[in-house]
Amino acid sequence: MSESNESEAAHTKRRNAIAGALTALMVGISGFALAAQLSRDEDKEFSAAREPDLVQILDSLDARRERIRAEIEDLQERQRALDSDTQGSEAALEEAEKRAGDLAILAGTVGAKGPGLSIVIESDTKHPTPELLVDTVAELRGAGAEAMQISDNNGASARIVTSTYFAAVGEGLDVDGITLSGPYTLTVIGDPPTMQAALSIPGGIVDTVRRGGSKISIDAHDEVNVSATRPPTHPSHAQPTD
Amino acid sequence: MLIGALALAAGVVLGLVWDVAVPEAMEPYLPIAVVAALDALFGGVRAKLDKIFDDKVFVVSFIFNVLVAALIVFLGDKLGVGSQLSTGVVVVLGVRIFGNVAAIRRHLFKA
Amino acid sequence: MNGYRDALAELLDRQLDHGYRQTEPRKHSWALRAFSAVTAVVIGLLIAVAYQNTQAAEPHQARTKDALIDRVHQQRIHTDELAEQADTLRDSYTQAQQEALAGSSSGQRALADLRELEALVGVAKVRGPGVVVTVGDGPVHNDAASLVQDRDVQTIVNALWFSGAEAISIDGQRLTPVSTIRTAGDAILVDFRPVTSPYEIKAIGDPATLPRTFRKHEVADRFFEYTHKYGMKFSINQKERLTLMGTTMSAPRYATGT
Repeated sequence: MSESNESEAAHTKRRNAIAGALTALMVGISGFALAAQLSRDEDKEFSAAREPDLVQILDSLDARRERIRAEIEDLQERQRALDSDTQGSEAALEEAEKRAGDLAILAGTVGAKGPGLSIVIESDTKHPTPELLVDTVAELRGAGAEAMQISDNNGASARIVTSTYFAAVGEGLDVDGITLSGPYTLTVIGDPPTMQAALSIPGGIVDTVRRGGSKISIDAHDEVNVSATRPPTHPSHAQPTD
Repeated sequence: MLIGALALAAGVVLGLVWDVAVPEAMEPYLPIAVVAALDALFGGVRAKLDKIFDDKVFVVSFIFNVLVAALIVFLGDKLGVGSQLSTGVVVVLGVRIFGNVAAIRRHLFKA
Repeated sequence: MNGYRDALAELLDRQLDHGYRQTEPRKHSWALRAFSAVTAVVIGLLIAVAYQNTQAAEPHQARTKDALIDRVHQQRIHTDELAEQADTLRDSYTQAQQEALAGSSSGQRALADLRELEALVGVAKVRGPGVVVTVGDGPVHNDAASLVQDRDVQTIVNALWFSGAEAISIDGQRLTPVSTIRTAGDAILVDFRPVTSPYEIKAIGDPATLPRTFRKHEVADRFFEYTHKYGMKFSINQKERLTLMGTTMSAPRYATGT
């Protein structure tokens, strides 16, 4: 690809300067492109995920979208009800009380009943670790559990809420400051088949417990009672804000 | 030249408007056919600018390019080297397209 | 040998079909020129069809990884926008509710109860002092053990609750009684929202005890050890003021109050 050479001599200084600047610019662009290509994908989010993982993430995002859409519709409906409320604050009061009732079930300040599972974890030798219970609770929440409590045979019980922790204490468990000793019974309200399936997946909770030398039994019921409540604590540091 | 450009544009519009379903058996040949067609196209444009354009050469070169390219892919598929041969065809035609485009550029920009 | 070199040289030097060089430009019949035009039409058609064919193959290609990653990003942005919309609606509804109920004493009481519960379950936005715990993957190619898993995050969260945390969020996602934390590849799904390393866990609690108790917790020790062993990232920073966003919370479907 021979370029014309004869005009080179005729170039003025000015033209040389422009050509030089253009060349510099193009070399710069090339360098940038090279660097961009080399660093491409290096720190891209999710790039280490495998395709099945990505499909799972997408499914999860679909679930999230549906959840938020449902809430938006719910809020719009409640807003409309509030706007069209001509009989003073009567309906608003009713609505606030209903919402408080719903949230109280989730917050654990009232007892709850509904379909669910009772799960007994028993061990002769080794005691279930706090981690196992953290795992179990996480798995149950993932399967849509709405209310949970843990109790032992001595009548001690604790409601499991957002801020519930599990810690080892001696031979037993410390759950939110309440000391329990085995065997432990978890009572959970939610969709029984979904929760049962979540616990029984290969390598899941049931496998882990059995491998650890403990026994676990799961029973589905049409109605279980989660009677343990927690007092409505007043958060002293987390202040509501706008 | 003008007729050619108009005909080309007509073809593009026709292809976009008319929803052609490519038979599955033809699908592997489509990319190669496109590259062969581009080669014939740029060769034609360059020849026109060189003032040596010839309708017969244009038509024949197009038909043969496409057919030979398709044949090579077909043979390659049968011999288990389909993708390598396709790459080969694309490289060879790619170099030709590049060279022709460079010649066109020299004609148009004198650079 | 010579022949091959010639072929290569020819390829690089003379891109034009020999036909053009060998023939003198001739005047052809109208039929042939029409043929030429038809060829041009066919070339255009071919290009357009190939273009359309590629576009039609898009759903198939969407299954490839890059496209999936792009969709994950798009969907996350989309759901984040929806969540923002829900936040705005919730704010205006809360405001309207406030106005509707402030008039009567029974209304005020109901409102106070509701607000307290909302703060408790994580629907309400809260602000306060606390700690920010950051935990991140080690070099990925090193070892699968250097990846932060859902269980790691759960263990840290458990230790934070133990240390007296009152409200916790992970990468901006507030934890509630029904929150889920799960692993999906190198990402973690917090309430179905995918987040990637490093994970930022914010906890509000007593500034006098929360940071101290957590630092002394066995879990903190363990993760500091992981930083040496697996190259994981782990840090605890005390903050004077943290703001945790509220989140969506729909009514329970299975449980009823007793």
